[in-house]
Amino acid sequence: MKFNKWLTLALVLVFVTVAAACGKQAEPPANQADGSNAGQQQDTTPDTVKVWTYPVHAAYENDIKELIADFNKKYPHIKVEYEILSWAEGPKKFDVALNAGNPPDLYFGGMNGQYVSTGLAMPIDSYMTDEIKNDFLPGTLDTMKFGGKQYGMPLYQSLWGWGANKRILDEAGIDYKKIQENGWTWDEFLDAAKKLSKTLPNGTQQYALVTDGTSIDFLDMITRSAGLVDAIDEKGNFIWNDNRIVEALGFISKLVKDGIIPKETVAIAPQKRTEMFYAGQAAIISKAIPYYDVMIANRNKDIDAGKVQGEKIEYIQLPVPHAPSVQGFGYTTGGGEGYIAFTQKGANNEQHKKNTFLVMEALSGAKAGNSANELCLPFVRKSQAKEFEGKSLAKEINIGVAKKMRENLAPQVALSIDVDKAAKLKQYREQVEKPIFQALLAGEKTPEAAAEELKNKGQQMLR
Amino acid sequence: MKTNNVRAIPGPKAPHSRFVQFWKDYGWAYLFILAPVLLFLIFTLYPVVSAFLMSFQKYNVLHSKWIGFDNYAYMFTDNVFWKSIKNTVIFTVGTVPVNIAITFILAFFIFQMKQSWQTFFKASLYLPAVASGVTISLVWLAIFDPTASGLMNRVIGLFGLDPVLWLGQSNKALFSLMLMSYLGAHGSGIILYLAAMGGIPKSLYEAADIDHASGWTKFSKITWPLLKPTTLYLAVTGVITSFQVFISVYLMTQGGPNFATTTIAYLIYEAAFVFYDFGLASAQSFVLAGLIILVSVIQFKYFSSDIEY
Amino acid sequence: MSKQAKLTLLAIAAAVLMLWVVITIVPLYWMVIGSFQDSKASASFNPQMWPKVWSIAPYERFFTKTNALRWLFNSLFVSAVITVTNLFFATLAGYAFAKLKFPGRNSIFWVLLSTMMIPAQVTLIPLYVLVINVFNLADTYTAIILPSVVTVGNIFLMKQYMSTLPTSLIHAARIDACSEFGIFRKIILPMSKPGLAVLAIFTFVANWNDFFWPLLVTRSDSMRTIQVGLASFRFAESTDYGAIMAGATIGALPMIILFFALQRYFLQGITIGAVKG
Repeated sequence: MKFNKWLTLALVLVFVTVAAACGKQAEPPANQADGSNAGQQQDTTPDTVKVWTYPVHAAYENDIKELIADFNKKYPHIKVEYEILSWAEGPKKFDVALNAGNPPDLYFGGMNGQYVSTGLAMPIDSYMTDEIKNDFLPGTLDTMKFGGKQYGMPLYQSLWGWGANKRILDEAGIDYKKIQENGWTWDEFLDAAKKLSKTLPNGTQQYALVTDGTSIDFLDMITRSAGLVDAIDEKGNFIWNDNRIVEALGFISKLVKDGIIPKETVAIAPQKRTEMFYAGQAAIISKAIPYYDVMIANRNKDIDAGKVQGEKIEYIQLPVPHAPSVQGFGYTTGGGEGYIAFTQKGANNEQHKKNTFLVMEALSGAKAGNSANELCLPFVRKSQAKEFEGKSLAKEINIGVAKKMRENLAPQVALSIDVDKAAKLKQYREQVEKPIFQALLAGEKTPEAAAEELKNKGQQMLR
Repeated sequence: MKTNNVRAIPGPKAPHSRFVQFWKDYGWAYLFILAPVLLFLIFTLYPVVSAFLMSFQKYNVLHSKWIGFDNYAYMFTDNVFWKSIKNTVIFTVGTVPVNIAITFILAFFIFQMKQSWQTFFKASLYLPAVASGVTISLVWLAIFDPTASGLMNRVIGLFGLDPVLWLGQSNKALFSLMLMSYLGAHGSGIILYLAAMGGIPKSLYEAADIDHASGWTKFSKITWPLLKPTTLYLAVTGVITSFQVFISVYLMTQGGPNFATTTIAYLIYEAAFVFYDFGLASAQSFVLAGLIILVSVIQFKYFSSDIEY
Repeated sequence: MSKQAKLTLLAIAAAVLMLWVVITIVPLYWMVIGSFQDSKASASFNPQMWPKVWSIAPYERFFTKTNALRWLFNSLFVSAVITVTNLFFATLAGYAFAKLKFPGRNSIFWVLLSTMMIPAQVTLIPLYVLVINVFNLADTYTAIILPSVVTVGNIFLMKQYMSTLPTSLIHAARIDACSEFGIFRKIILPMSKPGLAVLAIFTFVANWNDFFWPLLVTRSDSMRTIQVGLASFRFAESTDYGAIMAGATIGALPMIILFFALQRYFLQGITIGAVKG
């Protein structure tokens, strides 16, 4: 017995020591000689830049291949290795790589304070030329900044809105053109909803609105449209503590109680809500990005070709209605997504960093505007708007409203506060906002009780 | 005188040194376990010890900060943590015994059948395991569809009940996941039991029959005890997997609604991959591991009777 | 048991089993049926119980994604290698823990077993650092295979199985001055066919379905396993469910074949004759 104990102890001890010894080590990549170029032309030592990206749009891989080919004409010594991840698991793969100290050089996604807190996100301010900076439309570069530093360049700006089935709107006599031009208030929406909800001849219910309840996207949109830019404002003060949040929650609760949205919303996943919209069971779908225009047009083509059974839908893009107290068009929720630059643990090669930026620029330049074009989103760079002039894929009727939505984009608070606050905000969203929102949807909490809890916990966590 | 070719009678062997004797006695055993232990040390123990050290740090890729027991302290004051323990325990207690019972009964039924029927049932009950996880989660999401057209709701509709928000209501969501477990793959357990049942020598039953033993006696004195190793395996691995239940939560409910289905493993995943707080995740993992070890030791004591015959 | 009782038992058994089969076969059925429905632009998975229009377009799409065959080969190779290594090492180790007495037997076993109880999420980062950064094995078969060459779960399985084998046979063999390895080869292994068969199919299936680790350590498309490859059919707003189901169905074939090849071993009992006399 004594021997057994010793053996176990020895095993564990050996490995604690080994672990401690090996624990912090990292393999710094071989430093490349900067060569003989004394501050003049670019270094032509062969280099590889790793890019992890996503299927931004259906044919994005073609875009990438073309962009890289163009890039290599100018910089043949820089090899670009790209990997297209799946939306479902890609983020986790990246998270593991990042936290293991080994992220790719360029990663496609939205800017996130957590990346900065790892210390591996690479600011690109020093590499950006004035020409590039001026090419971007005002406000777009801010979507990829954190704490005042620039970490990436947006490929497009996402815009969250609502989408509608034209046939149902027409049947109910809704003047959507007016809404697209001027926005609408919650009360106006509720009025319209009365006409849009009804029981269909075959017994099923037609809802005015359908949304998913498994994420807090809807909560984000409604609170923004109530004039609350986020749970905290740009200065880091908690602002979900006045009447506005109660109003917002009251509005959501009313939607469920009055049957404007299905009572099962809390359990409806994004796929299900799309399905319901396609099946004509809802007049309006949330959240709807301008890309739905193209997606639904494709589906219509499939219906014509006999591949899919269903009703063809004509898509109308609408903005999210705002609280009566908010003036004007209302706030659009959205953000920017693009390539973000990273370094690896222990890596210190200045030339490699320059090369990384060159690749980023190549992947985000004029021709790369194809992504924004395919997604029916407004361009973020003047050169892109020029390159794709007249080739827009969105329907005429939806172009104007998309532009208006972009003009009224709400600022992204999470990017202008410090790292710790950003982390706490994230926790607040996941562990407080989400459960309370779901409880509200399921009818398990009243709006007042929910607002109270949000306020208390917020004051605790986000001081 | 010619010496006969008589073999010398070997005298007592000279005693070997303790070290050599040790290797003579046990060398083979250690050799047999050498490869697994070596691989284990590198690919399992090292990461585990690493993670253990992480649990005392605020982990950061470049500069982790040593914070002693802070992670553990935080954990114990966190309401969500206690809720997750409660959920996990309910899930485990509610599924492991039931699943073992179901598996055993199904295996027992199959064992009574003719060979060809046995093959049919074994195949059809095990093969669904080859449908990958993606497929399975998609199917179950469709089954638990909260509207009236979801499969589950249609089934209970036959009994005149209203559609249920299976995954959407706090008081039903956890049960829905448990239901998924009951109806899920028992195939591997069935195969294990069948293999073990086949290994029980018929002579034992024949002897019992001579003594006019009743069916129940035969079961409780021969079948059940001889299946204990298999039962123990299923119980221990069952507890381990259900304490770590994560995939179904991740794919179907993401811990909601309102933490109703947040299990410890999901909480750990959240701490690690949503909040990047690997130190906290490690601390939570070791508390979880401690719980599992405790339960496993109890199970070993209860089920382990060294049956040698 | 009386004839009457036996028949009733059989009847109940049959009924319950058939019901259970219907329930558990649903996912598999849907997988196969879904693979023959061309639902390319589908937002959600909603195959009809019986397709109105049969189509092999999903299969075409699955195979024209050039690397599908390579993915299948990768999965086959990796799973096969892991199965063979586990068969060898886990059985040896399981036997040692079950039947051989040596100092440290219980403690070593418990240390091994207790690591099974630590959720993988957390050992992921150190393991990743080890394989990718320290050993520099990114994008290789070795990286996928190495951590699973012999798993504790399998050792545990074989230990339990082996403990049911009669020790008397082993003692008899020792008296006949058989070497330890000889005992293992000539006596234990033949008796363990059911256990080995079970181990083989379980290990193969588990590794075939493994998704997350291969996802983490592969970089290029040509090294992906089938599960990782199938995930690339999921786009931002829609998923090509037809192609995924087609791929999953094709992917299930090797396992089904393996199952039927091995299943006759699942019921064999040990030869008791050797002990008599």
